[in-house]
Amino acid sequence: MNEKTGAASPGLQRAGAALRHTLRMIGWIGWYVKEVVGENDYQHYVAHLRKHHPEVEPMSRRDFERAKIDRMEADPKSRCC
Amino acid sequence: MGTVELQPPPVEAEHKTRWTPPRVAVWVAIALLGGIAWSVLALGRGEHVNAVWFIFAALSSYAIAYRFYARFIVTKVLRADDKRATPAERMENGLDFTRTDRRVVYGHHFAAIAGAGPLVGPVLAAQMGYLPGTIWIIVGVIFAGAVQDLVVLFFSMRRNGRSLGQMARDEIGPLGGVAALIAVLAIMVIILAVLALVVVNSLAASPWGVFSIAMTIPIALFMGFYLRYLRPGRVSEVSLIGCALLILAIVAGGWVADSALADVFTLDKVTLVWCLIIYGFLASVLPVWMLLAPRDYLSTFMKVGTIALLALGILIAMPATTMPAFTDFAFNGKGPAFAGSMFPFVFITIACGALSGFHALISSGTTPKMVEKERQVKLIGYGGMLTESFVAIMALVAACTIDQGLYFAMNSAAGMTGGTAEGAATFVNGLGLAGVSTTPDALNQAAAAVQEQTLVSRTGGAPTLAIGISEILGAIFGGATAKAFWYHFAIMFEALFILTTVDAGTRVGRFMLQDTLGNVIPKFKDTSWKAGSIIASAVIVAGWGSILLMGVSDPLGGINTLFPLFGIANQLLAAVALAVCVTILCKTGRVRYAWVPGIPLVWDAVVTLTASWQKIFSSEPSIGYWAQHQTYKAAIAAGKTSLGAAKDPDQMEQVVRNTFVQGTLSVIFAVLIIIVLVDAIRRSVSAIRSGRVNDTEHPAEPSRVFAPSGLFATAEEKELQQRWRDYEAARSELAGTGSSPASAGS
Repeated sequence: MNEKTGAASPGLQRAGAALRHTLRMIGWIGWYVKEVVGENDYQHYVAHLRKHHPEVEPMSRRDFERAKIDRMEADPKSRCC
Repeated sequence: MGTVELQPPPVEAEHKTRWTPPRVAVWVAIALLGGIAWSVLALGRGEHVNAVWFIFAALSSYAIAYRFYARFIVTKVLRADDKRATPAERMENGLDFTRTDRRVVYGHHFAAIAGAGPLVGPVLAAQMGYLPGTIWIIVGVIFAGAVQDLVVLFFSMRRNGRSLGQMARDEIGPLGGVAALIAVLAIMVIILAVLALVVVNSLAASPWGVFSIAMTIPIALFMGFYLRYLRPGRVSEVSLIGCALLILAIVAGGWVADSALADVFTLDKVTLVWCLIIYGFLASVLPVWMLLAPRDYLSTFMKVGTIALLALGILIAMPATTMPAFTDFAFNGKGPAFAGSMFPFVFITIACGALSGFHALISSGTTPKMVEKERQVKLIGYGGMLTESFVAIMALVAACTIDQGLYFAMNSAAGMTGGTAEGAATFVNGLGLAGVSTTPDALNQAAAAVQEQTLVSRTGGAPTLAIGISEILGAIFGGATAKAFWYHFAIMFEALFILTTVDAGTRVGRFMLQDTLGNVIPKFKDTSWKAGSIIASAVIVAGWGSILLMGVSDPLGGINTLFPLFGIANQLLAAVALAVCVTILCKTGRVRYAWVPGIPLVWDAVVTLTASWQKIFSSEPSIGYWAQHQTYKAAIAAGKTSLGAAKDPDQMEQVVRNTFVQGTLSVIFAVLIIIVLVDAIRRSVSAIRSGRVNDTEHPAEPSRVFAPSGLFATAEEKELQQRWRDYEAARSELAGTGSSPASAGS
């Protein structure tokens, strides 16, 4: 009995570590996708204002996203063939 | 306050490599693997070559080029300096100038450059065998395509993100600048027309395909409203919903094709063209948030997902090629997919996978405004293009693994096959290629397997690739019954991102045109002027729409006459970009490194001008536009009522008209590029003679941030990152603001 649990616990530890690692990877992928599609742009914008222009009140998320997409109106990014 | 001075850590890490024995061993192993893979590809005669050798040859060549050549360019030629602030640091505004994680910029850049080009070109080039295409895709990207993307990105970054057109004007001069601008506009129009033609050819008479691609419009509208009104900015969740709906649309397409509705969605080519023209015009005048932006998200997700799936499929299924290293068409120039011999036509047909001028438009402009540290350009510019080239290799593999008889039946124009399985079988068997034979039954079965009415003369590359993908993915996921699903999945994903390119391209073209017209009629510069934008959009849509209409109704087969024009246009744009790079190196006292963009420039100019020359002056009617033009004109004058693929006087008139337009476009492209090249040489020579350094880049300002430069941070870089975090924390504590900015992950 004792021997059995003794043998299982490093295995459990390894499984736990693997699980943590997998979760971290999934989290990283989630972060990466959001960064690439620009979902985190608003947070970056707010962080930028707080750091460099603390006196300026940031736009609301709704206004920010609206302004961002409307900027594409004047500057559509080209997509390649 | 601020009495306590904190010393910031260094802003760059040591980037000299210590050559330890294990590191040397790894690189020797990579080189050996690459050598073996290339030998298998080059020497395998008459044998089926397994797809993994293509993957090994490509990846080991890329690794060596990236580690050694790209590093040489970044360090010695460009002299990238991490002590110097990038525009994203200097001009950071939280909007377009934003310091962005290098891996994110890489993803962004790749999503912008990857499109249908690298998927379609290699498929067509496969008619000459797998080897010419493989060599050009891999060698071309290493010495030409990736170099162009990298150098343009770097020079644009040093100039605060100036566009290629602006750089051409600044560096070469007004004449070269204007010629470059007109070339960009003309090239844009022809590229949109040919890409749209690929879509039309893959959707014609396919109710399944038409239904699922039509469904992308309501899906995109839904996503647009969701992002605008329901949950602004939640792009990833709405994209997941969109992708799920898209898969549903593909499945539903199968039901529609089996139902009474099938007739409604069975459209001929000309109807499809008009649908596309109306759609393109609306998409370009409607607000971006409604259609263009959500569509772009959808196509980015689908693109990356499908490419990953295909890579996985090839690695698991490990298909063998059926195409030999060379076919007779490599030498006799009589290939049915496109006419002309290996030199120069392989090099212009495989446009995007090896060298794509269009990328220079993306490398200058958006991407350089996001780069955090100068040395990261190697990963973003060079690495991004290597990835694109890898996509091209996978497309080539997919095309080379399908049955050769089917390949040629699909890629020969209807004028040759008669559009029937019997005609196609007779034509393919009559090609006289060793080991290539097919029967009407085999062709009908292949079409039935993917639930299409016919696969004969489905030119354009997309349907062929879709067959390849359906075989590879069908072998792993779902077996033979899933083939129809995977076929339509592939058609849909290609159509989706070609249409995204058409949307965005029409809009970009419209702005370029408005800008150009604005020099004559200032009111056009005001982009909020509705009438102006409608006129400009209509002109651009009419431009590509008329060429598209010409292409679909061309008795000689639109792809085989128009694709070379597309290739020439794209490669000529690359010549403009490389000429700008050479001129900058000459003007900044780096003549001894001018060969880096210079060799690809010379090669590219020789290839494209030779191709243009042949298209204009060749006396062989299948190659020369004017020769074809004269042949048909003479035949009409002689009172003949049919000639070759043209079966009646109307079709003959059409050939005369089409070849006139195509021939004229070839002349215009060639003349524009010669103007740019001559002007660039003039500027370079005078700069070398004067011996003065004439630099137009933004003056150096010291950088005050740190970030790793490669894909993976080295141990030293990680340590430096930690020191910077500690420093930032200590500083904000000193400042006593107490506000902790929301920090991104990683």
